[in-house]
Amino acid sequence: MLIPIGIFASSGAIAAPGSFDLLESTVLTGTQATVSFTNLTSKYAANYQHLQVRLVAKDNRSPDASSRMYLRLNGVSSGYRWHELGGEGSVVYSGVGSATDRIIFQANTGNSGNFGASVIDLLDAFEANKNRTFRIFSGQLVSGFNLVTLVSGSNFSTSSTDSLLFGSDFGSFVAGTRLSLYGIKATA
Amino acid sequence: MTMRFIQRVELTSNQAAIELTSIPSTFTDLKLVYSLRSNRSDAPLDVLFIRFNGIDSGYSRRQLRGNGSSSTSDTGDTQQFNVYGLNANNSTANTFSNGELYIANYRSSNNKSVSIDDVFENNATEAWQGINAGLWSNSAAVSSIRLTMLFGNSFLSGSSATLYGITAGSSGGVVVS
Amino acid sequence: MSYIALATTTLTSPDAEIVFSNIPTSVNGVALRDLVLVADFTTATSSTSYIFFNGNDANVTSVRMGGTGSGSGYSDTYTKIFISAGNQTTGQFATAQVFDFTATDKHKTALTRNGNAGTLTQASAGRWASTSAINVLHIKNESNTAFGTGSTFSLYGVA
Repeated sequence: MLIPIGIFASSGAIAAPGSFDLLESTVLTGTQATVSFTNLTSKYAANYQHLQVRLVAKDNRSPDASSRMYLRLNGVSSGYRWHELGGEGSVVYSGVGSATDRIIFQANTGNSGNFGASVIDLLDAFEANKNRTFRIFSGQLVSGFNLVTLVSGSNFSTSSTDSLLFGSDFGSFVAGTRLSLYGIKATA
Repeated sequence: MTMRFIQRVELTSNQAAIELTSIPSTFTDLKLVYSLRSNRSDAPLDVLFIRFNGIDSGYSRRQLRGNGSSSTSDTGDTQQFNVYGLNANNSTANTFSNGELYIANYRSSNNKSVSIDDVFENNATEAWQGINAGLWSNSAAVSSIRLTMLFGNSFLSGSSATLYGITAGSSGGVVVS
Repeated sequence: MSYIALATTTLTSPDAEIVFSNIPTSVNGVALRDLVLVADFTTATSSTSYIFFNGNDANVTSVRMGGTGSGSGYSDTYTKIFISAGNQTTGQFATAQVFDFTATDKHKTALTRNGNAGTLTQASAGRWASTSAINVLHIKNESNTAFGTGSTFSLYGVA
């Protein structure tokens, strides 16, 4: 059964706004050590309740080796804890991260064109009465290092989310790495 | 307007349950995101209960979860979806779980398939991440969602649940052969 | 509005393959980056369902983790991007997110979640080792068993 998709039907009227909006996006055109989204509270707290980051990433670590990436909140480099449930192709594992200066999850390296992917959800991103808890669904496919993971992480601070910094644990991101920040509303 | 906000509950005081009611019958799927903490004080973990339409039967689920040390898979209750991954009041202060419930075809007269992914964090080895497949064997449309817990007796102030409706696009004149 | 409904179908009779074709790269001037498939379906017999792109189901690697309801879970690798496993006769629910589907300088990476309350829950990551932009998405299963009447498949684009 074939389902042809035409141009999204619009009838000429302006579509009513939804609750899920692209806020910012970065696609690297060259090598870059980190990518940041900044001034988030002043820009988005009034209109959005939750945040989501969708990304594909690759770094410049030696080919066919596993790699990782990390995130930091509000420029803070201490007080983090993160945990991981993952499948690596033969067993399921569960563990607690040893690093406390960042939240680590999977990126990718390996052959040209091979990017890992992640979806990061942060609920109540700007609320003053709760710590930020990230839920991260990630995957990478590198020969010998295939991984699918569900990661949780926090830095146990009630500060509003004002910046998110992403970096590679073993090098720099390469061209084509893309990080997109979305806001999710909680009003009609 | 494919994804649209329906309603949000955010507690300003402790409350035994969170309910999202009068869910309109105008969407295809429902997506609930929740940030919760229970008042259980003797352990970091509580178990979230999810019920539809106030009905306490017809639920089943399979779960894979990790607790920072080991992974476990089990099946669930029949009286509600029981999901590990709810911060209790013995976990690190001010830390709330982060979860998502997706209900496909919530208006259908078929049984309702659901997916639930959630995590909670804790400044210790023990913290939980889980993926769940669930089924509510009931032909009724989902019109309300009620959240409670196993061990504690109230969600703490600051707990929140936000409900969205997802509307699938038209088929553009497709013919199924 | 960055989550855009592209197409949907509910089967009125069994069908062995679902094909979404002519997937646009933009909608009303808004460039799409990712695809999200939401599927709620049955098959007449138990069989593994998967997605592939542009008529080419080769050059795929995937890794999955799952739980069957006992033990500590399982993980393995395969050569298809799964959207189901185990018994689908009583219903499967799946989501598949395909990233940067219009890119011509990247392989196509997907994250999927699927499960059946009576059988298992599963998460997977998959890669189609092709730099071709995706304009067709296929859904079928390994036994060529038809998807059942009432099965729904919906495709969304993410800006």
